[in-house]
Amino acid sequence: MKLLFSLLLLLGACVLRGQNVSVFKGIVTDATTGIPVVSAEILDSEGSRLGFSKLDGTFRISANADKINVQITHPDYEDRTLPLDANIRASISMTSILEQIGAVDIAIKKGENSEASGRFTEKVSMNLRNVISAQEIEISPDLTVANVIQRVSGVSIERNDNGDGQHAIVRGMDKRYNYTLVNGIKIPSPDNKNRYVPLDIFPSDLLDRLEVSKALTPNMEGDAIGGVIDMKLKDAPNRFMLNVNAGTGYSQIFLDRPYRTFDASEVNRQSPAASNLAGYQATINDFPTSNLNFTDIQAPINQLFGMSVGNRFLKGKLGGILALSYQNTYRGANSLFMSTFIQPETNTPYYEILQLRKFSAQQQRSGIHTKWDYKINRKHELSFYGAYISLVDRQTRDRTDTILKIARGQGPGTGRVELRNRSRQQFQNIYSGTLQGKHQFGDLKTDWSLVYSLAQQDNPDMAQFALMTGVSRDTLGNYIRDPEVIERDFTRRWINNSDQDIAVYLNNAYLMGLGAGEVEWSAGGLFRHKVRTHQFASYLFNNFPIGQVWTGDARNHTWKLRNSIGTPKDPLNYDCNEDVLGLYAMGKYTLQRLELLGGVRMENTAFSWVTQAPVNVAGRTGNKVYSDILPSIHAKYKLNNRKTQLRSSYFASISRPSFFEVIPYEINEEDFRERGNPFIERTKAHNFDLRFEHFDGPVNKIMAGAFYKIINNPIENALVIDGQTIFAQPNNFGTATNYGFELDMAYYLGNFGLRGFYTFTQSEITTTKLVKFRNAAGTLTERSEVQTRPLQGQSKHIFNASLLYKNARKGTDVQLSGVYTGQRIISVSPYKDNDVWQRAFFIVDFSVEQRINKRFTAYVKVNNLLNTPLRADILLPNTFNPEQAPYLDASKSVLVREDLYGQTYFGGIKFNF
Amino acid sequence: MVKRISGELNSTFNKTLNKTNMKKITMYALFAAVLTFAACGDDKTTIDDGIQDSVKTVNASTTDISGYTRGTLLAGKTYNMVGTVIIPENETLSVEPGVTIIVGNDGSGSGFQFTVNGTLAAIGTKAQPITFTVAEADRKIENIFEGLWCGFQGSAKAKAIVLKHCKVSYLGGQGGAGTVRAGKATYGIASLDPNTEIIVEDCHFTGSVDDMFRPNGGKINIVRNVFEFAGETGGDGLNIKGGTIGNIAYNVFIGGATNAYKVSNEGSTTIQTNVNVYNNIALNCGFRRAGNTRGANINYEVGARGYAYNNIVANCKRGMRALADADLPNIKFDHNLYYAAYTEMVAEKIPTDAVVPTETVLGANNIIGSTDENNPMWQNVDLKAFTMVDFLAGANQNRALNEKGTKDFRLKAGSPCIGKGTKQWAPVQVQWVVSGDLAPSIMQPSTDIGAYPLDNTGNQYF
Repeated sequence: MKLLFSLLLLLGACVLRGQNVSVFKGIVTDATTGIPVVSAEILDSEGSRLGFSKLDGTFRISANADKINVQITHPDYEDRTLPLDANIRASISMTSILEQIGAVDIAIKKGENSEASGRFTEKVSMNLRNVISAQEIEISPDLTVANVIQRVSGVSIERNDNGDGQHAIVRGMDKRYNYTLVNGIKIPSPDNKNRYVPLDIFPSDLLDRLEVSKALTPNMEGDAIGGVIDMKLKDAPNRFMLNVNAGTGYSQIFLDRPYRTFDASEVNRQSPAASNLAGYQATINDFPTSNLNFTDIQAPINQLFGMSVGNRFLKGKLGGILALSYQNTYRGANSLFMSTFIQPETNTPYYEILQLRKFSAQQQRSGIHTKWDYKINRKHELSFYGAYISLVDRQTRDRTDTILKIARGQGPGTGRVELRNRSRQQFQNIYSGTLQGKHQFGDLKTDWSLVYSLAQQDNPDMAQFALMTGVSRDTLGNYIRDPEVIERDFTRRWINNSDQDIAVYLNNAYLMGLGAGEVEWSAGGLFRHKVRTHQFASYLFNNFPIGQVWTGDARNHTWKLRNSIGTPKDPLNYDCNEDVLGLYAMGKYTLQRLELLGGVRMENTAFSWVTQAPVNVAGRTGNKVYSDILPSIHAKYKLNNRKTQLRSSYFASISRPSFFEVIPYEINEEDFRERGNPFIERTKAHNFDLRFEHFDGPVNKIMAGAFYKIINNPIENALVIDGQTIFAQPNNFGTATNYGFELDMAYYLGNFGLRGFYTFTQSEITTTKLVKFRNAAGTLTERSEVQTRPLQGQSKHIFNASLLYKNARKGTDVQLSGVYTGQRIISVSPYKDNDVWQRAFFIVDFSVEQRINKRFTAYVKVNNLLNTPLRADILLPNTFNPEQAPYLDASKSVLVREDLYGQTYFGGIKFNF
Repeated sequence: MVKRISGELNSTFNKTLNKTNMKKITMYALFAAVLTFAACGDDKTTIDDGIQDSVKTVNASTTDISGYTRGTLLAGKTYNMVGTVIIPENETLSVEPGVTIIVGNDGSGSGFQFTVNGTLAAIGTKAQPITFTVAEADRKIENIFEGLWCGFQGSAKAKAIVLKHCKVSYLGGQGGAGTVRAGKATYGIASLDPNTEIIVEDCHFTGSVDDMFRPNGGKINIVRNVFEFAGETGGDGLNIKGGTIGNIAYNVFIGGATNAYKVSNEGSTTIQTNVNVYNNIALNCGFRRAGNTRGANINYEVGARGYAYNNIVANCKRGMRALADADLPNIKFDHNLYYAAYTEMVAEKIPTDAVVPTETVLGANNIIGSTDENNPMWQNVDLKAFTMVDFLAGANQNRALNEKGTKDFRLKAGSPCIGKGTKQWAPVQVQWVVSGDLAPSIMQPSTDIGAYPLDNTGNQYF
């Protein structure tokens, strides 16, 4: 062969010598899937590089001949050698290395992390799905999954105190209406109250791709109304692979002001009650005070490290991958927070306390992920994956509260001031292990999974103490600052919880002919046993002797411990179990261009709890059992040209109440009494979707869709008048509707790409609110009125655009991404029309990658380029005391929150083998 | 839709039976199982009602009390309170004159309390008061702010808390597990519902870590009491929140950490707080609060309404005030006497932080003087016995600043209080449900300012 090629080449060289430059065009695609192969290297017969295939798989090379022989190489594909003709556009298909080994799964194994495969998955999947590929993630500015997810059509994110994304809002549906999977397996949440998983715990570099399903098929768990987020972690590669990534950088906020930290070395992970025998009487010596002393650090350095190594053994039968990720980042926020009261006659807000808060947080994310697959033969495969994900968050909050409501008779600049310093640590871990088998027995395909996962959250020794001071004016008008006196009460608190799942999944599918078409029957189910425990220990101290003037060092001060045994009988010490049995049956019928999928899922839920509250506390123990039948039907029809398809679907789904809100705890807050609600019903929804999809070539797409949801018994935390007393408790609120449309497109032209989406969402929920007023008898009182508003977190307009430039020849990738999130409610007020609305905002992130040589690539990522603030208002004027904050305009609306986070910069190097 | 799929399954069943019948039968069975299973699941919720102890009825042999309790604690007997006592809904626990209740503790750091879901009726007499105290060894001045137990806590279902001629001390313990003040200092007497009736008459309260009394709603009649050592470093005396109506009259308040009489409509309720504060005394209050600019000794705020007449505020850190967010058109302060021995106090007779709104509610007949003017001329109270340094001594304050002791607040002849009060208005009208011995004594105002009118119809602690 080689000889022949050499001869041919020699011949070619003779013939072509002296001729003009010709241009060769073509496209490189995957032989099985037809998806384009990006960055395939095109070499001439002597091994010199002529060029690369681009984002859309196309290439354009030139040579001094109109016929040449080229070799096409790509790490994931068999090399190919073939002749090219300048007059003929070449279409080159490449065979995946894995294909030769023979995969059991019909799904594409190879190149799944490429953008084109993302499109392919979107196209072939039976339900509505959006996919972000590893390739897209890698060149994007996003470090965590929470940031990646905002690139998905219809998704907006809710940010944490430091401005990092944390939770996803899918089509205006709050985080409680979505669930999160890892490799298709639901994972428990480390959150101490809720089911939803904080997405900022997952580093993005472990991902192979991120899939968001907005319609449920019967084989998926039925408790999502917004969508399902599935993090597909990296698979074993086809040949030896080693990637290493190291980066570093700064956060702008800590270039502008110091990073405030505390000494965590003496913090006990367990409370004195938990680390000693039951009934232990703690003493003041059990509570070191080093975490009350704060120090400032200049410009701490962020660090990123990632590595993945994989290979295939035993003639390709055994494959394994190990991926590690470590991120150490310093994030912060400068925040203005205005707490307000409600004016009794007008039901409008007025200023109570102006809080200026400075957050400093160190976040250490670590992830280890390993996946092994063993292909016994063409029909049987076993795989195991294990993951450990951890987020350690150390945060200080430095708060200066100025009381505006009272004690301001001497005007702005005077009054009461409280200084609150808080240190807190949070350790979140998720462990998950899954053993999975896929088998084919004749026409019957079976897969099973055995899953163990554990999610933990530990908040040891959160300590906050306050200093009381004030400013007044003497008779000469001079401002006099009072000494800083330590507040009497001081609390140290330990909270931890764990959530353990043991689950078994079984799916069977059977394919057979039916008339001119074929039908795939499938049935299966899952059983999950969940055990959740929550522990709460709180210790109250009094400054003793009272009224100590702060010296600047906690070690100079003394406190007296008031409850030496902690709080072992607090109802927040509880255990709960939840057993879910899900069974489904469905059929998928394919007839030429039509695909129909329909079926039904049944979910049976048994939930029970036991709290450690004294026996006389109502609701100390309880259980709830319920079943749901969830039908769904999905249709897909390919139009004439086969590039265009229409989908429509209906599915029924539910959303379960969170663990904590069902437990009938009762807490007496300053303004309201807060209590749990064991009678809260799960939310049920009917979801309708229609989508038009057009794929122009392998990577270009336009999708336009509309959705409509009827949501029965949505859960909101709201005030309830019980007799003459008013409680804040979670409750069901009639029927809400949510509809909208999405436009999602990706378009690539040579080296340039534009990707984006626009989503319009309109939801309505009607709840009872309070109105303060003066009645005819001249008495100040309150009445209930209904208010119709959007669901919390829903923006009418969401818009996302990414502009991409990829030059495979020079090895350059540039991405500029912008996210626009329209006005939305971030906090629902118990008082009519006093909801807190976040203003519309636009966040821009930027990243660039440049290949240095065959093995090394350098990158820069800049997040929050425009230093976009979070601003939120109550959309009513302050007519009572606007003069107390003359720097704010409260004539139309009252600003209650303004957070600034600053930019973050990263630069680093990647190594690929 | 479900039917159609199974129909399809059926129609093809025969055609391919031979080849794959086992698998198909399995499939079919699974499908059927789904439907059967689904059909039989009913929603069911079971919740522990918390009433697991049987209710104990007090009898002649009872010596220890705890848990669900009803009946009568018999005159003159001493009872040990060995755990929280819960008075069930619609039940009454009566306490006869001369009873002594000694409150123990379980070493947990949180205290026992009377949890009132029904009615607590402690009706002593002047000759035979009822005593709520702690073990004898713990009755010492060092424990005054130790919060050894948790007082009287009305639940949302509470009908009435009636205390007449009671002596109560060492309040403000940390709320026990499952209580509304779990992990925090409790208030001596608290309520949660506007229908709870709280009648406190002729009682003597000594020592509370935080507020002595905090109704979050209720009907109140707080008359002729003495309150001492209220609030260790914070907390108010009578700290009235939203949904409370009634009267506070003829009380003596000595040595409160912050405010003596504070009326607010804070919190959410359909009933506006409307409380009249009249013929009371506030002495030596406001000097123990950490942080320097807090409160006032007659104080209305956050939508509250009511009248403050005929009161004496003497040697307190801050005088009288109404905040701008109070229901100013329905508030009036008049015929009150303000006395201060030292210039430092006088500066805050109308607290400088609220001069403008307070002036809108001040009547023309208040007696507000400068340093050492208008001494009320009590029988044996030397208002210049202590210096400013003594007042500002914080935890080291002389106990005499905080307790009634032998102080006699009756007026000497020639007192500026005599005849300077007003009766030209009425107490707040309240629709009472309790009756008989439990019924409140509605006190009419006097023309003498203070809690001890010359006709001795006021406070009986001479």
